[in-house]
Amino acid sequence: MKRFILRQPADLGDALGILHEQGLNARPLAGGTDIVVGVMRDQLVGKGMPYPGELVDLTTVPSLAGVRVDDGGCAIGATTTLVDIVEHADLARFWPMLVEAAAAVATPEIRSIATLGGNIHQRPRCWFFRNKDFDCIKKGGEVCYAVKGDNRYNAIVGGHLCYIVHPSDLAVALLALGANARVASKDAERVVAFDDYFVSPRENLQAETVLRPDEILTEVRVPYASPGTFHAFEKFNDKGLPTWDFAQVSVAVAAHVVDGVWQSGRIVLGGVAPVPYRATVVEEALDGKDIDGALVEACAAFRTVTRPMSHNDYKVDLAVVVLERAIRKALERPSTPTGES
Amino acid sequence: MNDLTGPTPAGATAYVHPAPTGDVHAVSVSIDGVRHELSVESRESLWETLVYRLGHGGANLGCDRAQCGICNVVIDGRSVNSCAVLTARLSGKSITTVTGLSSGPKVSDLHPLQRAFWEEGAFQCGICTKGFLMTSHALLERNPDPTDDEILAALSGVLCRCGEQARIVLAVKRAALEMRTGAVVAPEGSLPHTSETSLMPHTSEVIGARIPRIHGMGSVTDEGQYLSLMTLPGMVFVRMLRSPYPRARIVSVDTRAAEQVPGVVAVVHHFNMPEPYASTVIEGPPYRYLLGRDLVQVGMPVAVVAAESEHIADDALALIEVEYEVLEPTLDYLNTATAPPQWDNHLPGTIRNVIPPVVVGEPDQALEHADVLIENVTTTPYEQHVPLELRTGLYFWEGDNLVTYQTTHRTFDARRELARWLNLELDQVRLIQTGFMGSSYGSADHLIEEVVLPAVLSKITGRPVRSTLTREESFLTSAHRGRTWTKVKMGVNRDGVIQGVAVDVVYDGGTNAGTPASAAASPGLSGVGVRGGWYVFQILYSYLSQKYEGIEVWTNSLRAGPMRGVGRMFGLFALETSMEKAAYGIGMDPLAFRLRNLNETGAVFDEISGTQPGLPFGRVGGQRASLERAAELIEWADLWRPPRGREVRPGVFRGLGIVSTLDRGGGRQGGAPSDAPPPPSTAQVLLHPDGTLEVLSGSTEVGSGQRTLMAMIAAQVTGITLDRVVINPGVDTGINTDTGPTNSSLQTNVSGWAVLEASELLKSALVDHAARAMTDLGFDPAHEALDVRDGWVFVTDRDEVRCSVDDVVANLSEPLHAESDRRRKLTEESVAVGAHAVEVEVDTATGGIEIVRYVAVHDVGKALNRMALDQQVEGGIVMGIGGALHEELIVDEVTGILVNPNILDYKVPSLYEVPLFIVDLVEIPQDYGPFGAVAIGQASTPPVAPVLANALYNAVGVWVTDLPLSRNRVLDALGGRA
Repeated sequence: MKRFILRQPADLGDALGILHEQGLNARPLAGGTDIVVGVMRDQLVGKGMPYPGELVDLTTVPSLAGVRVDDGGCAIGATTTLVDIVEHADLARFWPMLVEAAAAVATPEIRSIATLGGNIHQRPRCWFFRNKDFDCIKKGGEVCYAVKGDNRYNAIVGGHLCYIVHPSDLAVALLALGANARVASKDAERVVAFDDYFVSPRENLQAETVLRPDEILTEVRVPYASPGTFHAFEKFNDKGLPTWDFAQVSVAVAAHVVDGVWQSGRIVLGGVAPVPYRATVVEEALDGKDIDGALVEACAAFRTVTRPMSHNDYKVDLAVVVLERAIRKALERPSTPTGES
Repeated sequence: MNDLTGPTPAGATAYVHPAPTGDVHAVSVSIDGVRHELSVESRESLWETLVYRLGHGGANLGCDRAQCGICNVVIDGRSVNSCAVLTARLSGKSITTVTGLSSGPKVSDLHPLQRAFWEEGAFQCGICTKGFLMTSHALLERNPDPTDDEILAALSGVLCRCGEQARIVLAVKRAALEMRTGAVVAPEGSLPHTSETSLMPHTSEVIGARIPRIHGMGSVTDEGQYLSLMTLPGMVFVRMLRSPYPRARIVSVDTRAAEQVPGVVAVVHHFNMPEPYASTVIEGPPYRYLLGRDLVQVGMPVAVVAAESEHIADDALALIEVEYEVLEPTLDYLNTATAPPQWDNHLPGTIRNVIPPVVVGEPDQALEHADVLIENVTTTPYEQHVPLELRTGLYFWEGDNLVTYQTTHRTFDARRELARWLNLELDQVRLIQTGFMGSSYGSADHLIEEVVLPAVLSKITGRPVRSTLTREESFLTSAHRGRTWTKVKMGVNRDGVIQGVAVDVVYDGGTNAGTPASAAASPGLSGVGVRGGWYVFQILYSYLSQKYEGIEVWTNSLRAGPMRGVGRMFGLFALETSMEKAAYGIGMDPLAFRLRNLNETGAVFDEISGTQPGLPFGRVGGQRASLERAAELIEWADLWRPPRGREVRPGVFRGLGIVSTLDRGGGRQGGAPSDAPPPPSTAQVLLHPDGTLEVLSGSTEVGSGQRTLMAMIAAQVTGITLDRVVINPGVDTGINTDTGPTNSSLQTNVSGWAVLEASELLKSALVDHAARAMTDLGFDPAHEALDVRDGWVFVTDRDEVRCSVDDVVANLSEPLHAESDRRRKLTEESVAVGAHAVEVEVDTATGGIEIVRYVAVHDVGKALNRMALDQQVEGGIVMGIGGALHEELIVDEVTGILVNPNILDYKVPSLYEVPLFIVDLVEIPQDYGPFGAVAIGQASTPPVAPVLANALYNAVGVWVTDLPLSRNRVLDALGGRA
């Protein structure tokens, strides 16, 4: 691994000051399981992907870690580890889907150091992007090797020039939960809904979020469920395991249902598109319908928005199945407690 | 702690890792209760700090990417990959490694987890054990009474490639129980031990028992000398720059910037490679040289850097400028005939070898006139062994003589090859294998440039050298299971008689050109790949006519070589899926069809098997008995239904499969030319005046228990109790005598015989020596005989007249000594047979295959160490499951680059995928094996893929005959049938 300078700021101001000065030369560091162990050890560099000269350790900033639950919902600091999310009693009670998604990430070892912010900001999956010998378009090269190569794990929807899939299990859940990101730079702070947080290759080939190089995610805010909302997270990877590998398809569902009729909700898929993908086509097909009767056809409607590549038709079939299962799973459970309960 | 017990450079003290430079951080951490004030560079991982900076042996390394878990330690109560954390960020943390788990060197000092892992056989090679122990420790500290599911979840981030997952869960449960109750729970069938330092029992009656590893203490503590933990005083590290192209010629190399990096000691490449090394042909044609100019695959070494640390070497590699002339590669293995030739080839394109076809009877006519003709095309991908230890070598020179430590299972062969490649006489190379090695499953079989170049760098720099391959390099450079395409035509009549079979094979050997010697002895790959597949066909079943054709091709992809089961893998997959299709084709029960057609007359063509003419077959009864037993255990008669006949939930079906299996072993070394002699069998035994029996054997330990078995044989034959038998863990060519490599399932039959013979000789010397003393006790030498058992010399039929071995030998002035040096007969080669059966559950919606029950029955002749035997069978199945369901190396068809050289994208089995095993034995002793035993090491892997493919068809009625049977292929095959 190439040399880098490890900065260990004592407070947020210091951290943001470094990023302000250094721009892309300095990258935020949390658990490091992707940027150090993945990106830097695997030498993922290119014209559009400079090797960071400095890493800014955000775990030395105490204010960025921890979970707060208040009247408005919960606020989770960006450097809160996944295991702290999984083991948090209030999160398990009011945001069980978030805990389910956190528990589905990688291995227990990784969950004990990986963080919420890191999980959201890890670089995408695509084995061409992740292999130093392919100078792919995302790294600043000329072509996407997935187009002609073995693209069994690549995007089935929303690819454009680049066919990565978004790897985060938590991002899928956060989008379904209507969560917001609190983002800070040296001089400003802003709140961005996760609905607007992720960008596709069409908008920006080199980045996956709206974050500017001098900004960091400081906190994630999740509102309480509204009464009568049902939640579920379902993940499928190659081995069909609950954890370990990245999702071939994951689905997070937040459904407001009365007497079996879909009132409103959010259905979000991971592993199928360059961003966590909100399946509005399925939501609309369910709108105002009796779910039992409409479910199969509504989930099949997802096929209409897909554009599979040469080796990944099967992911479309799988996505439809996982959509059905996630929605059924949500409805089999009691509704999620609201803040008043 | 990592002090080598073998030779080290003269006059040297301990290794000292270079002081950090650049971005240096002061860190204060507690490691195993000891406070350390450290100064480290920001990029240094905790693993590097432990092993290189502190000489700490508490964590092995498997991937350096947080993907395998074998380096796990506990940090502030949580299990963490020590490769994944930077030491500079650990100030104030408390770290516990396996070193901190035990309180001393005795068995009684071990933590209950350590003892349970050892005694339950929860490891073979032990490379993953420290990771499992520490992760289990973190679990039990939080949850003293975990459920099975909680154990699986907690340990799911650690991989075991030997396949001991089920035993690991058992060991954790046992340790948890012991910690809760304070009692020691002896496992079923274990024998009591008296030694403070080992679990070896106080009896000589050990053959057939369950004996844990004799050197297991080294695997459950930090004592085992795994080379990845070892350093040499004054050493430098080497790293290599590798070709990014599958075919290219090096035009120029500019190393000026690299040489300027502080800490770089040498940079060697094609244009400055010294003689005689530069001119040594290592294989070919096409000829391959050490740092040659012509690159024929991605990952071939282009330049080598020796530097004071691996990081510094990597810095230098990044600064080397290479100009390549990029050439058109051959990547499509099914179209090599029209590819541009890459050497002076007498065959079209890059076809390497056309194996002389074999025909018996009139197969073309038979196929034409059979009632039913099935055609079955099967393909198998490149697979890799994924040995969890990163292959490591240590090197230093004493004048013109090389001393080297290697991760190898072929101690003496590796020495021979190193000597040849380095232009040295055999006695100028001393090679040591420490006895602790991450099992390689065949991957360390071929000597590769990576093993030789560090020796050259050590010679050039005058410094000891350490070389450790990265995980990516391991994927790129070691020999893989070759890709294959097989077409089978089988003609069957409705009465179940197979009229004819025709087999056509394309075997992709990749860039494996064979050594010049083997190429001369037998062209190309000597037909090992293709013939290995044919062998299966002709041994297992009978056909009225047969035809075998095949070619071996050369491509600029990966390098093919031996992997557990070698050519039997694709052969059995092609054969047993064809048998299944044929049975369905005539409407016959697949089990009945197999029993109807078993080959009960023996091998037909010696030239196919590659074995010697006249090989006795003699395994027939075992084959039938195995199939019948496996059918009984899987409840075939009650549960088998026609395809799609058992829907257990909507869209979810169960199905059964059953197949035969076989493997060869114990005779000639796999891959050797058919006129090559079998390996030598040698051993020496010494009975010392203190009553200990010392076994000297060159049998290399690879984790499957070779050394334990040699000690057991010596104990059983001499009558001296196993706890008094000593055998070094390692093999040293400077001390031991050649007794063949540990491959091709031959050590039991090779070294085992030698130990047995030497022990018999020693026993008669002991009895002779005892006779005088026993005469004083009333022994009548004229009419009575003496025997030895459990450490006592006694009069046969009057065992109350006895004298302890200790007393008999106490007054010896020198040890009693015996040795064996025998050349085994080729007719002593064994064929191991068996049958596997499985019940699967297939979800047509997700394409998922779940194994409900797995049955393996093997005719092993005689079980010697039942624990090691079960472990080998289980481990072979787990490896087979990985290959059947998930594992494939993917070479990009456009660029020739290996797409998935990591353990995340190359998916080996985890704890979750290990099914409920039922292992049963048939024991029909064979007189060519010690105590009647035959080989078992490889027989349990080949049947897994075909039995699962057959069960998949039986469950859901679709065929997938391209391995692996991964979700995408199953869903594609189901396409709409869900």
